[in-house]
Amino acid sequence: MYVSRLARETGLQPGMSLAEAEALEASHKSHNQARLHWEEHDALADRERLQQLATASQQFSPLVGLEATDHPSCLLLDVTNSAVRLGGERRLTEQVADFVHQHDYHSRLAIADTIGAAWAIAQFGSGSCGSGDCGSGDCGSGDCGSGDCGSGDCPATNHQSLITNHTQLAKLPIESLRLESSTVALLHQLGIQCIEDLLALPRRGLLSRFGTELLTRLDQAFGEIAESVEAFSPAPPLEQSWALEHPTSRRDTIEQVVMHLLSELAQQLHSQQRGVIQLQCRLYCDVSQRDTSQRLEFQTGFYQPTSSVEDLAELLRIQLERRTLPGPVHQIVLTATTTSRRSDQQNSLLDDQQARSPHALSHLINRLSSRLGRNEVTGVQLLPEAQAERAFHYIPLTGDHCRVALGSSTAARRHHHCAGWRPLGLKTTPIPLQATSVTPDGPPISFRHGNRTYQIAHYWGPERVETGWWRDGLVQRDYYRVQDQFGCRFWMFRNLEDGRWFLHGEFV
Amino acid sequence: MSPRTDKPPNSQVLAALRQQIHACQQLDSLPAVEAISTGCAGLDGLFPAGGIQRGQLAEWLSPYSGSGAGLLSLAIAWRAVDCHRPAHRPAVVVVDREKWFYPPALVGWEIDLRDLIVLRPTNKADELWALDQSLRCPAVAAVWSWLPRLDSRDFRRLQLAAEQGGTLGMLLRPATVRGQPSWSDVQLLVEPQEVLDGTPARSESSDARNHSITATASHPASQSPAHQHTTHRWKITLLRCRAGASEKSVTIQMNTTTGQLELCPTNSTLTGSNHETHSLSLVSQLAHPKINRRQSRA
Repeated sequence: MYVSRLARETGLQPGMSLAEAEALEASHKSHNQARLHWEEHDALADRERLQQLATASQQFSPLVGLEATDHPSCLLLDVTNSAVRLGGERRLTEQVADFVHQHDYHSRLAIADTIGAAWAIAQFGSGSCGSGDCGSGDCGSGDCGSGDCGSGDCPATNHQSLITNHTQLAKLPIESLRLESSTVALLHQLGIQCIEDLLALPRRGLLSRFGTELLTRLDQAFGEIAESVEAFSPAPPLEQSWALEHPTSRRDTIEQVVMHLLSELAQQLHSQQRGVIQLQCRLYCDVSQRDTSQRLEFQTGFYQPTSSVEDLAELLRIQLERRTLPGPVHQIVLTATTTSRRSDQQNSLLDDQQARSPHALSHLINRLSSRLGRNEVTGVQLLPEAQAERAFHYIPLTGDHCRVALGSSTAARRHHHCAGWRPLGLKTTPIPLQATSVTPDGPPISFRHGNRTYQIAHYWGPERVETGWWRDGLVQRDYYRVQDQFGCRFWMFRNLEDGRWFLHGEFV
Repeated sequence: MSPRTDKPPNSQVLAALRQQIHACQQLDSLPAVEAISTGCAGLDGLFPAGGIQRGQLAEWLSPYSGSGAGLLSLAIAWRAVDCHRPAHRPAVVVVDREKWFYPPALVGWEIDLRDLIVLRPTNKADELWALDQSLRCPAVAAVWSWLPRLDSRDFRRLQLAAEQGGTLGMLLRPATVRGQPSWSDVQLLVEPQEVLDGTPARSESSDARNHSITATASHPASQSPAHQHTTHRWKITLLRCRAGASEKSVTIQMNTTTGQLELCPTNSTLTGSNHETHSLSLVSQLAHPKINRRQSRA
């Protein structure tokens, strides 16, 4: 388990089991402390975010790569010569730290002569090393390791180490050598805690006991063996195109070509073990009157990554049926604008509802999005906002493989503590009302809405909302839940600025 | 010469195995349709099966706006999520063409908003299509929508879709449709009742001194007048129910903070009459294929 900085303050530690953490949280609950929020680790999402960061980091170095492991958490930048261009190593680290901070990540940075040393300092270094430790001339060919320490929600100050030398490196624990955990455990059993202890031992003995891995890592860290940054380059968008010799308006011909392109695209996706999240279709049509070409373009989003030709074809067909061709089509281009690694599930022997359920939901959402539009098929995310109309937003369920977690964050849930106080139906724009109250600032006793006058029998409130001064003006409202003589409930407020009454919702 | 041994292809073997397993399951799974409890034994008692059944359409008729019928029907629709069989959590689909649905109203009911899908079609045709598709999907536990107007053919289409997908359809409708032909399996009238836990509007204590503030920087006082736990109370009348007695009524109340339903302790009434009061709905009852089948067998 990984924990955020805030969670660490409550006593949680990385590596703790979930059961231990929950037990600890239960003890905090009794002390009325904030509830913790758990998220399941998604290694695929982590890698994709790191790749996005790598692409964006190319502004600092032409050679950016990911740490060469199955689950990379570190970016490597070859800053040879580029540090000078960007105002020196210290200035460069500051810029990189700001850049990572802007992306809402907490980072640990180090510049060193070798990848191994930069990684070690970034992961295990204790603090900022002054430039006086090592002359800048020693660091002509540095590598900058940016250790991304999880996606915590509060970016904190960055730990930065500019330069290192061999003495500093030797003080670090042996874990900093990027060794297998079994090797580290064995070294600990032998009483070897830091690199310094390891250097004191004869190399021949180490080779016979631990194999080549240990010495290779050691030599890589100290620059005895060269190690280069494996450049990361984002995959180009997957695209298939077909030029028709004779432009056509026949739907069946167009569908046939689209099917052919889709099967080609599916083959490409299969080979990369990826699926489409967003598919773009472009039809280039001849417009005879103007003797020009007009493009008909549309996007189709998917709930889960798919490479199934049938799924892709079904949704494209729905889109095509609803569109009018501006003229005969002479070229068709299909582009998988967003793709993601497929999470294939093994088919069940029992072809019943249970087996079909996850796919059934995915197919439903895809179909609905295709016809109704991406923005009309949504999940809900609550926001920590006091103003009712800003307290949530809809998130499209298709077309984005890095969807924001739906539902609500702990902060938002805490904010929406007012269960049962909000109506099920909210007016998009509050409706002005004629309301009567006995006292000038008192609750309403009747109001007129439409052609009816409502006599208020009971009310709950007022609940004052004062917010939004930093947006387009201060919102000051006194909300009342009112019940008329028939037991029907409404949600209305008095605008404190001008004393006018508005109906904002109905308890439908 | 040895006899020729032609093995059937794997797909055929799998299909045969599936058929056998299905046959065994069908024997074990009688009765086929289970009832979803509303969470209130008194309300369950209105239905012959002891709850609303999966694959049914239920009409909730609301005589006035602000009656709370939507809140009640949605709370019951959510119970279908917990009773759903598939290992993966099913969804609750809200079809909101009018664009007034306000999700924060559901917070605090111990429900996971990640199970919620909100569809906002822009026209009537898309709305019906979305309802049909959602009802047909076995991964959807319940579909909820406000449908003031629905012609008989579209109603029948939705009823067949719900039956096919085994999905519970909750249709919130105005009470003016009472008496019109209906393909729903259950039709309930929800009449709000006055509750006395608020402040009387004309009492002398009606002043604005007890403000509670919900602003960005502060939280409201827990038991100020605005934040008392409140209840909704309704008289529910079962207007029609396929294969069951109608015109039974019961008074229930809901704790709006927790969403819990309970039989109203004071005004609980359960009266029964065994005849349909609306001849038009009988037409659709008789036209229903299941009833026809039953009658032809008799």
